[in-house]
Amino acid sequence: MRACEMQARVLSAALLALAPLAALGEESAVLKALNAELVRSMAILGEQPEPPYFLSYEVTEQQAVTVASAFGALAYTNARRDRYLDIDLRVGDYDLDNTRPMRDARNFSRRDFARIPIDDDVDAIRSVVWHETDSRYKRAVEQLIRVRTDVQVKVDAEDQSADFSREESREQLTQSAELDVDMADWQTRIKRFTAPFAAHGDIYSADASLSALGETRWFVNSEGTRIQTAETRYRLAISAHTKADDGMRLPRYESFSAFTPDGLPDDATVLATVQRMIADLQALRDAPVVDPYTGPAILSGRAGGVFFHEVLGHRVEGHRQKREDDGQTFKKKVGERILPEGFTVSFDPLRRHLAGTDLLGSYHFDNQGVAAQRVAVVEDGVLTNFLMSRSPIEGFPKSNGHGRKQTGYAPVSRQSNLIVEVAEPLTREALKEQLMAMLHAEGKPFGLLFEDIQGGVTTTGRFMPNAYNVQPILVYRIHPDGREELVRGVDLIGTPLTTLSRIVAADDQIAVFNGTCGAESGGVPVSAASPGLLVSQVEVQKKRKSQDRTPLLPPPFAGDGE
Amino acid sequence: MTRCALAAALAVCCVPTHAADAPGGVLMQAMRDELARSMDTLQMEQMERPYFIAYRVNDIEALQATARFGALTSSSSTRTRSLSVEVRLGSRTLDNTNFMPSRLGGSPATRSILLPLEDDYRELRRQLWLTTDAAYKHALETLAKKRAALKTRSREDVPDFSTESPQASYGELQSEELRTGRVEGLARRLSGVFREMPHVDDSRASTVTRNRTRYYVDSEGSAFVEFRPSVQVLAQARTQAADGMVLQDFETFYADRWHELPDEDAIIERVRAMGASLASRRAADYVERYSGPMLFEGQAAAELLAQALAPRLLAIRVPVAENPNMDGFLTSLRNPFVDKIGARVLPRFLGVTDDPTLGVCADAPMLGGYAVDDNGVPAGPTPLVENGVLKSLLASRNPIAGILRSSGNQRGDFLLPSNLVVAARRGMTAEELHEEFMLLVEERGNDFGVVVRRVANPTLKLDPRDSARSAPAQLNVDRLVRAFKVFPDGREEPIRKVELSTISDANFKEIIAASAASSGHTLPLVLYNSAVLRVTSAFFGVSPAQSVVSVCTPDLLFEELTVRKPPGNVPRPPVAAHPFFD
Repeated sequence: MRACEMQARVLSAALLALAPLAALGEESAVLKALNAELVRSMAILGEQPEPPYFLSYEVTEQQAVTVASAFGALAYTNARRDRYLDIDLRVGDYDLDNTRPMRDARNFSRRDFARIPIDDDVDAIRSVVWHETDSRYKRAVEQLIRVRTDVQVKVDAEDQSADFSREESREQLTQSAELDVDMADWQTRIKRFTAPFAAHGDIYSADASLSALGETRWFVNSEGTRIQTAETRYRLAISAHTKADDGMRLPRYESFSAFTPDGLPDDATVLATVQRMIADLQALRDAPVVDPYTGPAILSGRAGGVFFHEVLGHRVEGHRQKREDDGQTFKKKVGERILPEGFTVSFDPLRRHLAGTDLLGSYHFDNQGVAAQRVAVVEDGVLTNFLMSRSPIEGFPKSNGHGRKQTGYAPVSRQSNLIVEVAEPLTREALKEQLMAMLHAEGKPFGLLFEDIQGGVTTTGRFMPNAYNVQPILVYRIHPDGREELVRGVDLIGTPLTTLSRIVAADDQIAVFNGTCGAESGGVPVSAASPGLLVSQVEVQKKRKSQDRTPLLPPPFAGDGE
Repeated sequence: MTRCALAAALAVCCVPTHAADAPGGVLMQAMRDELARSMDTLQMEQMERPYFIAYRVNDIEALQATARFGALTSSSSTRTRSLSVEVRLGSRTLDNTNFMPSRLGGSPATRSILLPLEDDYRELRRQLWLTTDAAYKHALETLAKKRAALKTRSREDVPDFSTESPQASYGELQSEELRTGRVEGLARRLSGVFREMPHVDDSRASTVTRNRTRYYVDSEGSAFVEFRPSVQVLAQARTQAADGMVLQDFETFYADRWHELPDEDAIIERVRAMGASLASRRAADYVERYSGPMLFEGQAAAELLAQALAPRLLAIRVPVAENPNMDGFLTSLRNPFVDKIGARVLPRFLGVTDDPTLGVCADAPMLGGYAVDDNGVPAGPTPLVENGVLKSLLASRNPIAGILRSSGNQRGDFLLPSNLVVAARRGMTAEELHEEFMLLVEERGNDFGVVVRRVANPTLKLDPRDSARSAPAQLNVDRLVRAFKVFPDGREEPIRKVELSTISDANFKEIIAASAASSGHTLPLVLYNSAVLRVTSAFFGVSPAQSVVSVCTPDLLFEELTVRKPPGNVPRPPVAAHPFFD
């Protein structure tokens, strides 16, 4: 339908080293330059005393357009095109190379990338690729010396897996990404979306942005992989906040994401959402504050998705299972039950739509040139697998296409589209009835319903408690008689193993949360889809609160009739 | 038709009818109206009301392009309108400023945000209202902390805020046409020059063109609108000599408007010459160590003065620190020239003036100027050094002992020079200067003297790791990029790479001679040498003081300086050859 649509041709691995690229159509200047420098670098550096055994280049071209408004006035516009170069150059061998993390050292990840020309000038692109390769090579040689010493002077690592997995090479070339943006129309629309907030003097920020990102990626490596992929993403985000009289900042966020502009909602739908946000903000100002509490709760599908992303998702990322400073919650639990029967959790980057929503965590190849694949990490409640990059762990020697990163970072295993499914879903009413029954049985004054959330965080290391925090925006108290009452001022907290064991049932209302997940390899787009969940016991803590009072003077336009 | 009429009616009902015609347009009207309301009514319960409020708006529209090896690597177009609000509570004698809290609850005395780009009176008022409210609350807390800190300490009896006479000036609202094709084209062509230079391993050319309008209004009645366009062109190159030594060089071109730049052929010629100079240095010898007379010519003299002398000419106030342990540390960083007013700091034949109103000096445009500074103080010349004696320092409205009035040098959040002019009495012709130079060389029994024609600028580096770092007590001057041995017979030899070993205030008193002819240079000035600014800006999380200044100076002959080959490890040259020249 769009230019970004994949026109894939996959050649068999045997053919690929010999396949003439011309057969795939006009080779782009970027690919030409990358190929030429790849071959030249491997040849020349190959004669050095410490030759590279692996080299890959990834170029990410981003075309981005953003327009933003605040309270109905244009606030910001931006259009840019950039090309970033990422290099993975490895010396040593597959078993032990320069990338192995130093033990007891702080392995900070640092963003480090080069911009290459956005003009299709092969000579100019090559000159930058050459310059960067040289500095990467020198750094790799130094790193390898340190790694070898570290391995000798420290105790044996618990996990003796190799540093880099062997994978089949792939060849696939598609067209470049093209954006479909009518700038003038977007500016008119984005102003329309925040105009309704302007009448409310007690709403202190009201911002909306429409952004389009067209991303073309070229990937080549010394094992023969040649890939060109393209993706477009469109996003409309609206946020506003008010303040309660006690100073608490009360935000409301809404966002819509899609692969095409047509996938975004029409103006009437957006404006209805804006009206709901305004109503929610007004209701939140008057909502009572909840004290720290533990009891049963329902998490809506979006809340449930983020909850699984934090509690389970980050703990099945493969590379964490061999880092000596990581909590490794699930490392020895493969084959064990961690969720109720009937629960399946999978990560599926190949799935592009669910519950009427485009899934932003989709891709065809990961950032190590490995083909994407669906990975079921929990099947019928039992832990079965991990998300794998090309960094193998004990029992999992191969990548399953989840080596991901933001430009400028080294890839590690990351989540894609998290999908929670249950064999026997209940209706939302039945779920609520179960919760009310729990209240009666335990004599609890109320339960909680987490309707919408802003995001979450978790720590998986050993240094800090292994906990998570999900930040809700709309929380309701469910009274024993079924009455729902909007409340404010709490975050959902807990520890992973306890929380997962308290999940009781799920409903049939699957919803999707699209967002950006930040971790050591930068920010990557992800989705999390889940049905509503009933949890027998959650814990909430007080939200951080601003100490600033509401504005002293009335709005400057109070007298103009609104 | 009906829809249009309705929209027009709505627009009118939200904007006072006079706003669009008011001096400075809708934006200034919104600023004046919210300022008046805040001064009249902004008060938290029984607490103090502001005695001073200022609004500053910087409206910047810019195009920027960067290219490498003939191809564009980035091109951007931006427009922002940033507002900063200054609220002062207490009194001129003691207010909430000049204070460093031990834990930061927000930004410093001023608060800034981005304003709508459109002249939407109502939305401008909303943002002014909310930002003023936040700045006022922050000021209340800061003043309370400062008073508490001063309960147990006393400080110099100097007011926190100077008294100035208000002045309003409204420049015309205008803009220069910004053309993407022109900005990108020049960057491409200029960077393409390096395709002729096999010895250059990394290079870049960038061009920026900008329309900047400053809006200011304060509660004392000062107000101004000032428009200023600017164009900057930069070419940078890096190479490594056979022994791996990193060599860098650059060329810059500054103007207000595009057509005021040198013509493109002349620009390209200068970039070619820069590349040729790099090539000659790759093959040149080092000077391991040299002590003796040194001549700084043209750009090198201007850059030396900007890096070493300019920070000494600023009356930067040392803030009171909430943490008493910090007080002593901050005081130790104060500008030693504060104590030298009336003392000789340069030879008797030299004088220094800062003049923001100067348009041209020695046929070169002076581009660091303005009509009104960012405190609304009218700009004018400030004599700083006369007959070698320090007369005064540049000042903002935060006074220091002995300098109680502003000299009109507030630029953004910082106190900075504008156009520095060094004038020499009894200046020498080029021949006389050379003769004097060689006489000194002979007296010292040296075989040669060292002349410097270009000094690196810390913000214009392709490879920022390659910097000169002196001991903390010394003045920090960057690498001497183009330096030559000069022999008595007039012969010159380039030096591969050299840096000043030490330079101190005393060296400036030992300038022996200056040329009669001056030259003008524009450069980005970063106050790395102002310790107070460095510490406070790091603390407040703002970028260090930086602005474009112009320096007009004769060539300067120093009686004695020491230079050396830069110490330290040297990276190895590239393993593979440059693919284009391979």
